[in-house]
Amino acid sequence: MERPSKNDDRTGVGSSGRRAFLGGAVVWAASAVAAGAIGAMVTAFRALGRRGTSAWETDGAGLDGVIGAERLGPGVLLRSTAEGPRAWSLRCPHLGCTVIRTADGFRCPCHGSRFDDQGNRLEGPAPEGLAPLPVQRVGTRWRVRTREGGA
Amino acid sequence: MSGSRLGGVGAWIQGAWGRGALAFLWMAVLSGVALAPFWRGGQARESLELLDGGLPWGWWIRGLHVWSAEGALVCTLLHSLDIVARRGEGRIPPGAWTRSVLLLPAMVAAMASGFLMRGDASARAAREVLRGVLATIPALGEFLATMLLGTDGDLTVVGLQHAGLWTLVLVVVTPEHARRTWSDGSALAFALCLSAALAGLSSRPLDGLPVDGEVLRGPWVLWGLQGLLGRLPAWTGWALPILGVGGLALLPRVRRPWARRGLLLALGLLVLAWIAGSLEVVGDGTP
Repeated sequence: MERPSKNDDRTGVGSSGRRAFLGGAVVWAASAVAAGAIGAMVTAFRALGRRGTSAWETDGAGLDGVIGAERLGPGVLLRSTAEGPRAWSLRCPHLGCTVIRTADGFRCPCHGSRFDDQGNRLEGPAPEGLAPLPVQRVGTRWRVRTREGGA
Repeated sequence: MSGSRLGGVGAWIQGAWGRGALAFLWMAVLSGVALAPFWRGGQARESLELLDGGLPWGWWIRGLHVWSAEGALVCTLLHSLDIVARRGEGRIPPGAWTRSVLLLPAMVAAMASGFLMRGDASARAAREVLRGVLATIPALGEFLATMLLGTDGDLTVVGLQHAGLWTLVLVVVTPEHARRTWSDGSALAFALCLSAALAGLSSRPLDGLPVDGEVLRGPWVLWGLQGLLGRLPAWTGWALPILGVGGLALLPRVRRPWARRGLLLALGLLVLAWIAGSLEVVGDGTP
């Protein structure tokens, strides 16, 4: 019995044509699945990145009415001022290192950016000053919101 | 006859850096396996403190792991330099050369992730810097930063990438490149003796929060990057290494002598900038 050659055109679609079509279909299907999987992974990782504590709370004792009194939280500085409580993020706006308190302000130990006592940028590669954070009074405690959308 | 004997000795010496790199790599892998059961991603610093002070010989095995990894990187760099200086890249198939070049960033990534696993102040700062650099990669930056560095204070993801990604890549690609699994006895003995001696002589203490005037340096393999990032935008933190590795990978495809010289000059300038950045960090500490 005669076997059809690879380029048999009696049917109009040779075996090589069918293979090419099937191969192309598989590649496109695999690409679609891969794109969907990557999209799902990116979404999942983004959600994971936003997870975590969004607020820090501390007792008001020792801060209430004591102008200039400060308290350090995780990545947060809380200060009692004449206008009320104020808080700043201690995350350097350059690349995210935690800044350290100095006698006259703050300094980033990674790339040397300096900030004044109010968190304003003085020098260094940081594009801006330390981010002010909203403070809320909850009973006898102070709550500092450390992330967008937090409680 | 004497010529062939000299050729054999010359070839042995020329291959010494490669065999040394393979030997140091296996020392690092085996000591890492010994360390792994004691490390906790959620309490990285505490688990290493326990290893350093509470377990017999724990500090020495950690030192052996660190020094052998550094030995592997130094030998790999010298091996690459030796190959390029002898124009050996043209005698290697292009695919094999590309894989060999990619071993360099994989090794740096393995060492950097190992440093992050310390969980002390320097490691936390280095993690934030790397996160900031990765986040500037268009579209995929945030995803890559989370996938490679994890979130919050838990370093389990970093440990997984250290052992399950970077080390695995090195363990698969290096023997494939060398066409042998183990190095020879003399290279293994040399790697063991040198790493063991350095581990005994020089401890790797963990650090705390810096006081005013001190700087957080990160691993020495990233000092150049740390110095350059004080002056250049964050995206250069991934663009410059890609340029360097890409340039080295393209070297065998550059046939014209003047183009090869130009490419080598550009790579040399990149290395000089890296060294200058490193010296700046070592110098006064504030890039």
